[in-house]
Amino acid sequence: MSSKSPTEAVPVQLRGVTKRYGSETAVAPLDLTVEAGSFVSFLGPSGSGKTTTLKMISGFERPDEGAVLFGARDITSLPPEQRGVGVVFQNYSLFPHMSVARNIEFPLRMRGVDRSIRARKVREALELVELPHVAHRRPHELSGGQQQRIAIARALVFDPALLLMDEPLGALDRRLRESMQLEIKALHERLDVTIIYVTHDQEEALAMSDQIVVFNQGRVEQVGTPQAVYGRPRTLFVADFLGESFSVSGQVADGVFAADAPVALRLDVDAGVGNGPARAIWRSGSVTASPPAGDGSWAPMPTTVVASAFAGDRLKLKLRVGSGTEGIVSMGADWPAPPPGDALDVYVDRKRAVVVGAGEGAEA
Amino acid sequence: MAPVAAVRRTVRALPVALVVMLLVLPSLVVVPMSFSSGQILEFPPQGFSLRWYQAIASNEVWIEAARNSLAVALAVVVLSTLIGGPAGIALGLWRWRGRSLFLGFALVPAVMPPMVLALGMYITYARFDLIGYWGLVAAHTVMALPFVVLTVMSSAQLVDPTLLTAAQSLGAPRWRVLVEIVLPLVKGGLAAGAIFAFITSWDEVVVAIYLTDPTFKTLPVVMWNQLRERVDPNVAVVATLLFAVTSLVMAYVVLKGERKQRVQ
Repeated sequence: MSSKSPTEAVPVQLRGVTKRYGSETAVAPLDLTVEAGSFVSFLGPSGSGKTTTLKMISGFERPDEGAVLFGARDITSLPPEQRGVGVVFQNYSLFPHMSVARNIEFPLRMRGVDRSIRARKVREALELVELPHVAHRRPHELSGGQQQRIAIARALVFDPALLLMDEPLGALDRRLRESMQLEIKALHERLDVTIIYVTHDQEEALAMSDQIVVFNQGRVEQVGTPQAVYGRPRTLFVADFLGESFSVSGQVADGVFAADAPVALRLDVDAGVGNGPARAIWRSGSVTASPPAGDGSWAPMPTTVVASAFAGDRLKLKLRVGSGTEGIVSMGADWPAPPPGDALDVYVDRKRAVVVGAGEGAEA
Repeated sequence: MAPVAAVRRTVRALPVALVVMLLVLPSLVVVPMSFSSGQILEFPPQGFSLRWYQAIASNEVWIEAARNSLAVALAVVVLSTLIGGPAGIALGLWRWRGRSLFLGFALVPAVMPPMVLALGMYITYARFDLIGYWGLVAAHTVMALPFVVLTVMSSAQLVDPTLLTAAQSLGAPRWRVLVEIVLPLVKGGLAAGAIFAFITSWDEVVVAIYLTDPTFKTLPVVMWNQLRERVDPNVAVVATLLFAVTSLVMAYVVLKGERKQRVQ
């Protein structure tokens, strides 16, 4: 259970992994490496292939093509019970006919671990999740959050090199979810274990991960750090899925983005965005109604207010630009919300604009 | 309002009263009759004595028949649980091709008229020389199977399939998932099925009449024969004993079910 655990965290590699159900492609050929000891989130809407990919790693689905490797070992055809992977499910899946201690002991019994070692490991696992007093209770006597902590203890007690979590906090209420996120992150820092975490909640993925893999329609849209996928989305889908954004349509020609009329805005574009239709995207922090004085990178942008909502510390505005695109941005709430239909001049930060191609396949 | 409620209560109580009057009371008349001190079976009984109980206790025919009935019923419990248990688990846990058809076939014995079953079995079993103990065990097992299959299936349907996935991910091969997770969770259904199987065989008479021979008779068959020959309170005693055993078993099932409901 400690960082000196007998099993070292392993890297996970997917090589050209493909899964089809009938004519439906659930996972298109997928190449992905999860570094040993890292915390990686699979983020995407339902049906995007993230859970199917997780199942191919846990062994509950066989890929139609490609290989799954733990370290240097090809485990593509190894049955789930021999993979030594801890799995945590959304509905906890504690065995109702066993006490908490018997639940945690289960994977050790399956491995023929000696009774005295089992007792010590169970105690350690319960201490790890800070529930040493519930050993003799039945799962149904515990709250949802406690049950999930026991499920985590059970998945970690046999020192797996890899822990898979499939929307583990989906059944908990918001406040509990946030505190559990921090707990899971703290656990990861204390243990030498690779964690792959499936979620459709972008805030959760941003808050917890070292790396985020964004899935859409069976494909990986982007892999990167939370800062990268949030701040420098490579596709329109990633930009939209990871949070509020505001965008204008335009055309890229020879490394320059020109916004569609009537917006007058030109931006230099990184290499990698080809010529053709494109969008310039800004996150909330780079859109404001009152730019700092003397900063030349802020460009004015005339918009119309579509809707506005007060959100405590922020004002959420849905804005439309002249060329037709709409977006949602948050701004400081220190001014009255403008009524829908009003014109509003906002300023966008040229330096923080992200330009992505908007051609075929880019539309979410 | 009050009279309406009273009427409603009466209307609701009516079916219960009818069941008690038409079904339970006529069966219960054998109880006082069994304590009669007279020579013939009659109601109301003459006097009170335990002489007929003593007569039964020292009568080899009845003892033998009781032993036979018990031996058949226990074998039926074992066989129908061994066959119906796995079938019920498979039907309750998984969806598979041909599942409905299989379930339909498994339930046929429960909807067949006993006479039809009895006649068919008699003709077939006689050809294979299966009249007697094993023939009756086989027939009663078939008749008890639907109960076992249904009770086990309904408890297996309550098992959350991700528990099986979880157990497998924790290192349990399939057979251990079955032993460690599935069996304990369908235990209640298996027990109920076993009890129903016991009762099915214990008081079955129609098929038993066909499939027993003079050297091997069960209690209900001996009762039937005795009733036709002479009408003495012996039969009432046996009926009372049969009734007591069945009621005790049913009471146990009902009380256990009640307690379980309260826990949940």
